[in-house]
Amino acid sequence: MSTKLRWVIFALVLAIGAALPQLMADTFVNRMSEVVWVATAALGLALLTGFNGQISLGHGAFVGFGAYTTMVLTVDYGVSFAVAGIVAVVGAFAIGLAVGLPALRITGVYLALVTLGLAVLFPQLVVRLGDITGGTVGRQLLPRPGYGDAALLEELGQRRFLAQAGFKAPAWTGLADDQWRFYVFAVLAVVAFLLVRNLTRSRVGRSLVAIRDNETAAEVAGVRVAHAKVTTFGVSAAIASLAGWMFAVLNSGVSPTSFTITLSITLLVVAVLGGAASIVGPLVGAALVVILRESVPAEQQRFSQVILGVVLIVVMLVAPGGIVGLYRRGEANLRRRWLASRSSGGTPPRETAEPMASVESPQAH
Amino acid sequence: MQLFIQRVFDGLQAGVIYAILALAIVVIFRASGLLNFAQGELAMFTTFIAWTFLDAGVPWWAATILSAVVGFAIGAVLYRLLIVRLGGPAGNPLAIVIVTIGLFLILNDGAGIIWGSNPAKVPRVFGEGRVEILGAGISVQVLGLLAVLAVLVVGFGLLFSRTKLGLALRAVTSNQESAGLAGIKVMTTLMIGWGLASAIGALAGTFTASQNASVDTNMMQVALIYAFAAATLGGFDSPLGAVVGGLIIGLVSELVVGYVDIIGPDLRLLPGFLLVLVVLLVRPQGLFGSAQVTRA
Repeated sequence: MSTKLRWVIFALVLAIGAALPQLMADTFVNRMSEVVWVATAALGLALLTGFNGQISLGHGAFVGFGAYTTMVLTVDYGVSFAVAGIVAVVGAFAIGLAVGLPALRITGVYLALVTLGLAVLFPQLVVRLGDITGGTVGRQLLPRPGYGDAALLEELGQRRFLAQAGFKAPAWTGLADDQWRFYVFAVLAVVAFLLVRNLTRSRVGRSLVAIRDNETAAEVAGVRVAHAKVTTFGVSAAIASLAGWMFAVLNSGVSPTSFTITLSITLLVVAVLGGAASIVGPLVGAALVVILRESVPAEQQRFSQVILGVVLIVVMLVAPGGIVGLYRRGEANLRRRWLASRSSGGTPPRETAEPMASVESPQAH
Repeated sequence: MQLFIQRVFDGLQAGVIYAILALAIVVIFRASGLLNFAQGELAMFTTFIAWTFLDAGVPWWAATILSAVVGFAIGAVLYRLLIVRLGGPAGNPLAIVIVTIGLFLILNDGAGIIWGSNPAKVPRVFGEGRVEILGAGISVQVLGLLAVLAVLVVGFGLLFSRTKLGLALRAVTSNQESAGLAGIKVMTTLMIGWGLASAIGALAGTFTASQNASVDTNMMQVALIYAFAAATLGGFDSPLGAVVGGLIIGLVSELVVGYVDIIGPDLRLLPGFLLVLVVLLVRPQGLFGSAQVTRA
């Protein structure tokens, strides 16, 4: 696909994204917001796993960190959402660097194991630090139905209770709160996606892929392997934490049950389904997973995990590059045929895929 | 002192289960060079099969052995149909992690759909008795499991070091192509390896259920994390290491939770996690594992 066409499609997607909240009901808008935060979290994972080959089963913990930082700062300390978001992202970057350091020595499946431990540990840690995090109840901006009044929340350890709803649309926009929320999410997500896109297309991105495909060779070629891997972990965690901020804003609250191992697995499913070694993949995957979950009726909900599991295995066996990988393969075939028919008689030209498209399988060793 | 001994016994009680599951993980690793994230769920699934036999009036031991046989078949079939397509030990680690996580989701949810998500009752196979040792109580159940564990470790130690099958399993893991050229039936050997591991998983599951006196769909999830920790600690290629690792993890968790107030029961997983992190950083091959030289 030519670069120009790419940008046209990008603009088109943006325009549709901008128009839909005006046309649809608020539940639909909130679904879109959900797709955006899931996609952003999966983007962080895709950068780490798809491009750099470091498998993380614990990214739900970084999302949880972002959501909790946001909620605790706004509810208990009266910090604004914007500032809380910045603290969450910067904090997660630092934590990501710290986790990335041991990950230099722990690679492949072992890293998956350790990050799995991180994912399981996170909700336990939240409960243990109940004084700060609100324990099993968590932190809510508004009392959830059934949790009673402010006095009760106070008793449960919520130091200050904000009576006003959190994330209001400013008056000048003339937007409803949910529409405003979605637009803010979308802008932040676009920034994150462009950041990752530019990162992966640059010298840095090529060195990440080089490390993934052959670490020793990359090092010999002059890539600063340790530096690149640790930084990737930090950026990846920061993006996941941004997604956590979105989660907190969207749900007006957090509790430990939202950030269990299930979330980490879901993020992996999203990234792999869309295509872990691609930028658009996480968005495609997030949309599919949210639609899949919404389209399964409530009484059949227990089948959704089986469906996800089957989808994961089939994708891995049939199209390891995910949906985006399938698309690239199809496009490359079409182009080859088209070129072959044009230059009839000559030898069919070799597939000249651009560098990204050749990275079909997420990891190759 | 009595409290200390009691905590040691409690630690052993937890550690026995981690040890058996870790043994299953090690056997798969020895036999195919892979880690199976669905190992725990596979064990849970076969435990429900054992429960179905029990419910139909089959005696406990027969039900356990039957479920191990079914587990063997499931493991072998999974290898033949799925895992073989991922390229074995030399395959892409991400693909292996993802496919076994897919299996995890299917088995976990599938068991809930087939058998319901409420726990079902299971009898304690070694009875409800307790013995007093040094003033602290330990259940006969735990002692029985320790004995079973000892038999399994010796059995698998001998299998890997003294039998033709064990030699074939080791050869196939080390180098599939050369093993094939040397006349080893690679596919069959690997199917047997996965079958064996699933059969041990089935034993781990039924023993866990028998210790908890119940079986439910989430019974193995936390145990699997501990078992991974145990296998990491002991060394992924050492059956003895897995068992020692399992017991150490059980003991350390229990003692740290008991004596260090900051950690407390909420953070039960933390000591094991830190232990594994340190081991991976300082001695990546584990306490009993053999070091590997990686070439790019």
